[in-house]
Amino acid sequence: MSGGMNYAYAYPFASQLETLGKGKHLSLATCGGVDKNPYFFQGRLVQARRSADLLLTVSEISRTRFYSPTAIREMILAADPVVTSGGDRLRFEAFSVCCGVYARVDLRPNAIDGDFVGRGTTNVDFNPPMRAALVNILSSEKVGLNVGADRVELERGSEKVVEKKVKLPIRWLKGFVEVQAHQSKLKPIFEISGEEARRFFGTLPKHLMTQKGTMSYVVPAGKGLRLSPREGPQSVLIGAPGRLKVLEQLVRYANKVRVYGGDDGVSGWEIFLDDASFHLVLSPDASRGFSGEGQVLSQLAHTRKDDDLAKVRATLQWQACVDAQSLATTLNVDESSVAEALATLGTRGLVGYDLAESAYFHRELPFNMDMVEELQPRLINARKLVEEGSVRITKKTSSQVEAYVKGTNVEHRVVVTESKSQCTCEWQAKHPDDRGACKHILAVEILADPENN
Amino acid sequence: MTTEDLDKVLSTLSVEKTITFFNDVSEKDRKALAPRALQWLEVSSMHHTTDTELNFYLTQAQNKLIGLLTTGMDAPKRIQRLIKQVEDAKLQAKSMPPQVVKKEAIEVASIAVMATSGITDIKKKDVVPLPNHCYQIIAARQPSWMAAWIEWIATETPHSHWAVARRLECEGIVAIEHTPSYLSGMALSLPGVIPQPPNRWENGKVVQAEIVEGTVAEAFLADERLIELLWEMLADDLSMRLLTHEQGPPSGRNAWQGENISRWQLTQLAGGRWKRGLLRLCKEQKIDRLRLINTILPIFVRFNLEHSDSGSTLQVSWFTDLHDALELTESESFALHQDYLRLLGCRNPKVVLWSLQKLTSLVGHPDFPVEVVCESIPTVFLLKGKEHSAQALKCLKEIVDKHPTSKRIAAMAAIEAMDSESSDVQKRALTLLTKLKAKDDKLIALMQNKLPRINIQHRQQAADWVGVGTTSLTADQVDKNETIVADNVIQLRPSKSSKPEEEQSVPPAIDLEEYYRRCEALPNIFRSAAKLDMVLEALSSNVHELGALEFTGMDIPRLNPDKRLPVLKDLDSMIFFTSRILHQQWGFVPTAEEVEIMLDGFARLGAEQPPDFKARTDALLGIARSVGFSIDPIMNTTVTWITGHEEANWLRHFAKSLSQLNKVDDVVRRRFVKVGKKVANRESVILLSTPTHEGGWIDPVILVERARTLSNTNPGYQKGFFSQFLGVLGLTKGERDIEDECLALLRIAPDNRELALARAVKLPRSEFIQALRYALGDDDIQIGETPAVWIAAARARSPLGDDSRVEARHRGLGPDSATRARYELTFTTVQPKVIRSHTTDPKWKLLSRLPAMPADTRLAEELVTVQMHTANFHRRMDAYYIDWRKTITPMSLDAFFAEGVERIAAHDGVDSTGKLNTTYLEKLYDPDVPMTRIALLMLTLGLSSKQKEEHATAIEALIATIDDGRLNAQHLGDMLVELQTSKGLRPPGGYAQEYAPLTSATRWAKALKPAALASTFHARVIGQVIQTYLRGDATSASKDVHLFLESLLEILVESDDCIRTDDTRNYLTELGQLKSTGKTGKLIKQILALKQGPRFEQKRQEALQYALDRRLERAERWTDWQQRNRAAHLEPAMA
Repeated sequence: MSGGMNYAYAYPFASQLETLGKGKHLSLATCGGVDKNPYFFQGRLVQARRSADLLLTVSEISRTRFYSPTAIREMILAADPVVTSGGDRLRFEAFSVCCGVYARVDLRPNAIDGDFVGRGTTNVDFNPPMRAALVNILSSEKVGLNVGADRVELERGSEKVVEKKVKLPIRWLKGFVEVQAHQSKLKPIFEISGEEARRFFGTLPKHLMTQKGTMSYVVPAGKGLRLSPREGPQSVLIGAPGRLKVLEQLVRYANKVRVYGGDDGVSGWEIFLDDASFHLVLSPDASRGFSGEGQVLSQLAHTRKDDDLAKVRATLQWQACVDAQSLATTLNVDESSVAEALATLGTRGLVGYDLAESAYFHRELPFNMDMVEELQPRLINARKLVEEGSVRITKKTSSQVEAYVKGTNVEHRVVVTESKSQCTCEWQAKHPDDRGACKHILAVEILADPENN
Repeated sequence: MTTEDLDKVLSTLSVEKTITFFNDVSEKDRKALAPRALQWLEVSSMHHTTDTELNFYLTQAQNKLIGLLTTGMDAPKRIQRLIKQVEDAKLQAKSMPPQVVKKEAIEVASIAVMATSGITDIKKKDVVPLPNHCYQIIAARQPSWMAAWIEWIATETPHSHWAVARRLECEGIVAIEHTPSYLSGMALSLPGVIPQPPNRWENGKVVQAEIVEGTVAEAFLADERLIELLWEMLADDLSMRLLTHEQGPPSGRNAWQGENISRWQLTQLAGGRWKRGLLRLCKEQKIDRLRLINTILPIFVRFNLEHSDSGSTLQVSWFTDLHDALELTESESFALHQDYLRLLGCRNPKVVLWSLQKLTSLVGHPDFPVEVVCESIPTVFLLKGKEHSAQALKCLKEIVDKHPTSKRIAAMAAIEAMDSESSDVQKRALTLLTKLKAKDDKLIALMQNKLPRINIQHRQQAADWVGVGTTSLTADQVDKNETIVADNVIQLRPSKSSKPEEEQSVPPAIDLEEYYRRCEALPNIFRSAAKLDMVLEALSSNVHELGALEFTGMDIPRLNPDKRLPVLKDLDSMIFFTSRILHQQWGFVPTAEEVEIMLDGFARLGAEQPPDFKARTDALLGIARSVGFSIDPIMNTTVTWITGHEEANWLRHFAKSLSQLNKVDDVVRRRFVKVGKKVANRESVILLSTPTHEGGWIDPVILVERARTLSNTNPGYQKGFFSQFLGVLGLTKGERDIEDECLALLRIAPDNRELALARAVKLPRSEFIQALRYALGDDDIQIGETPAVWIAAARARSPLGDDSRVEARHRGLGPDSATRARYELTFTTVQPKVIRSHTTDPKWKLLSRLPAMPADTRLAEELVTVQMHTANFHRRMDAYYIDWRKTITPMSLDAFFAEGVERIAAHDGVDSTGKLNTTYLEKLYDPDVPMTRIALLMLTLGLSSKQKEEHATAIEALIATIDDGRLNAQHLGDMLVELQTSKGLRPPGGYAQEYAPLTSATRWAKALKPAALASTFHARVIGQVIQTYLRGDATSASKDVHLFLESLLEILVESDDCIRTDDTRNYLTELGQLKSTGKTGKLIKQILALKQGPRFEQKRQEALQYALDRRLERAERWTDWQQRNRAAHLEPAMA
């Protein structure tokens, strides 16, 4: 599936770092979201050099392809990061061009001294001159920060709108939202001190692999960690570990680093700073973007009642942490329904997931997310198979369905049980457990689902 | 104009006539002729491109028939497609003029297509006649799609056809938009690297074409209007990336494959010529020098900041060489200092080094931004390597010299150099700091935090600078005092303590009671095997070193109840399992266990034929046939199973190829052949040798059950004259599979043997049952007549011993027959052999085996343990087989490890070989594999390997073997000495010399370092290894001995320990006299000065507790396995 959506950033001015008297001022231009050019924050960066490095790293990830198959290289231009103002913190999020790396910086109240004048999510312009200027910020400098600008100022100021046109592939958008589903499954595995983190990153091999298929495990070593080719009883799998190098510059600020792992090869890294944090989530392999992981396909294949979803959505008010338990009590629904609703909202770009809090937070990606939900190629193809009458169920009991589904030149055997679904197609053979069901299994599930009939 | 006219002119094969033919043809007539022109092109191309390409592939495939099995190539699919294309073309050629098959027909047909077809067909068929022909056709035809065509050729063949576009533009025939493709076409075309004509396949080879050279400067001098285009080109990212290799060689559609010059080579040549051309144009004042400088540098900055980690060396040198060659004045340079400064933020060390050099040269300028530079420099120290860090320190020094007021800020930046991985950089930074004499509380606190990361050699100097005056400040001490500032001086022990015992700090108490309680719950045999009492005693006494675990592997349980192999229970599980394996056949290597599970499934379920069998297996059949290579045993067995007949003569093909490879590997394929035959006849069969657990193990109780079933169903396994008589008469189908019997015996696990024997005694006394009983430990057995079966039984009965009874009956059959193989280190060169166009690697053998091979080298196929010693190595030895081989005799892996020794020692520089060889080393991860001498030898060679996969796996294996207590430090130290001094490891000369030396002290030292970091216990063991290595004759010490000394010093300081053996102390003293100055001498003095410190006892306890935890865990695991394995076979009532 190579669908894409033309997206034009229209910034009222170009983000810039300008010199004002003895200090500097960073003005970040915004575009999209609830307002056309929202205005979120006015204040200053408390630790200017460090904050600049955090922002530069997020920006770097948004511009990097850690893996470049030719087709994608031709297609994707870098998208700008998005910022969410929740009333007490600013969160900058970005997703790599290759769709396999997600990054987020949280600047908490002590890191940004100022006033939150608005709430919401928007794109933020990170143009090359501004990035180049950020490199030169000194620790001792006083740097003001504006996210957006008020209307009066805009009307008075620049007249020329800065436009950037990019083609955002659907897979990029899907990846951006599917990463929430993975994060919610991650568990903290290791926590090391800043000193040990610096040691760990210092011992990473010079030519650390970013190629497809390169795997390493993070395992304990003394008080710290090391990379190992062997899975240990307590280890975190890192696909294409070369991607970790983007953190090298940041660990020098780290108080501690927490490593998260899961069963599906996704790993998370959280860098703790005094008043900020940096999150990095890596896909299982360089060639595997989050978009193709199919974590929510089976859920989407089944018809479900949207009442709970609507109720949960109505309660979102840019919270930094959505407490599922209290929400369940307030809405008088069970906690699992709230969790499921939040997961679904995650796939629509309406909530993000905060690893540190183990909870969702409200933000609304400033893109047209309808296409994302519509363009699940496997699901679309499964529905097409059903419509074309290509599914032949030969046996159906309460615990098992056996069927044949038309494939290319062959009819695939499909057996769906409560615990496992199997198919003779190539996708299912190659990804039996970890990347969602194939279109043939989904087709059988759709046809066998009593809700659909 | 008719197609006959076209045929007539094309049959002349004349380019001129063909071009002239179209001159006066109307657009309508052209379109009418297009289909015929396309047909000409298709048929002629098929004959001269596809056909020869097909031959090429087929030759390759034939040569690499065996390798293809698992190398992941998709050649079979490509071959199938090509065969179809060639057949179609031959069919079409019959209805066309005979000239169509001539080589010249391709160009005239291309011209015809270009002159008649639309842009869609031209692009689809990739029609690109030679540039001059293109120009003539386009100029004459002037089609509406000229602009689209120019855009297309600028992408497809810019180096050769951009000139056509330019000529059309200059002559006013077409107005061209200067798109990135067009500009990059200019970038690649002007240097004149033009292959003429594009190469072709001929007789399976690529025909190399001439390269016509030109120069950039000459092109500009000839056409000055190009200068405006130059600035557009320099501002264009795509053009600049191509010229500077920023993107590297692209892959896919635009890779220009099949031409005589790759895109990579082209950009390399073009880039170089542009650089020279631009300089000449500047020199001759044809272009504005300052404009060039101001254009180039910002692009360089942007490239590096945008993709800071991916800039190649070539990219860097293209820009920097050009910039330097433009010879900037100081004021010109200073105007660019902001750009240099920005480059410090990128992560390419070469770029950083260059920008630092530029900044250093500007330090004297009165407006030099001292503060900004000093604050930007610390990130430089985080980069790997030392040149840029050294330059950064040089820059700081210059800053202080020229701007004396900046001492403090320079000192602050210099302290950050302690983050550098380079010891030299740290030393230089300390020297600078000492000279600066700028010190305040903040700087001291900053340095204190850095102390743990400072190389042990310089930590003293750093501590002196801080003002704490220690010789053994450890990482722990500093960790605990992260917030300490200057006045809170760390309490340190004196460097020379006369009564260390009195100053011992009291280590935290360990709850030994709990440990004793856990130990008492264990069976004595495991408590003893894990040497738990030794650790407990050491914890409560003054013992310094721990012995390694010593076990044979027979005395511990080997069947992991959680790793029981799944059994394919029904047809559906068989279908889905096979589908999974077949879909992944190319580029995927099934594990030995997966192969065995499939074999077993085919054998047991092969006869099942439910009514919907065809419907269920239809998809699988399609998959198996699409895999498309007739030698794949899995695919062929699958097809045979589904169709019920032997497919594509594969059995015959196998029979021919068997015996040409290593016979051990043939076992797998022979087994597929045997099962395939049964499956073709719709017969099921019981395989004795299918492993029940991961690792190739068979639970003996299950084996006895299988034997019982066989005895009941197969007369070959029944005792008694009548049964055998019926079998001989052919009235019953009784036959034995000796190979299967041997494998089954060799895979018997040590668990449950008594129980299995008690059940086996009740079975009919066929030769196999007797051998099985013998293998299980029954003494009351008479040795039978089939050598292979009894040798397998002897190996299973006593894997590490000799069997005199079997030897007496079946004498002199070689190593690992009745007599266990012994190994000696000897170096013998072996000439390569050619087997089916496969050349075995030129190599040597490091080991000689005893007893010797029998004089008659034609060993019985079933003697697998002996065959293991006759391996021929192929460069692309299938991982498939290596993995399987370790399951042949899981109880004794020495033959497998010996093979590993020879393959690792024969490193040939091929990366794929290194990856395959890791399979041998990975087996050492298993904590229950005994660390025999041959295993240790393999590990030691792995630690010395040049190949990074082998080296990394060996380090991991070292960590694992220390972790679980299997590594004997003394033995490893001795092995290092033995290998270093052994003349047996030196090739005598000739081709072998290029690979020498087989061992490297440097790589050993580098391998030991990360292993020591794994835990305090690991550090202690590595310390012992190094101390053992540092003994004997100091005059023969390695030149890199300082690397060992560095690690040793670090370990001793961290553990507050000192040298404990006189041998090592004497060696170091002697070595210190030989090398009294320099790094080695300094390190020796530091090491010899160390005394046991106050934290020694705490560190010792920490290490011992770590060891105790690991050993206790494994003893508890053994107990758990034993109990669960026994319980699995008890009668339900008893259970």
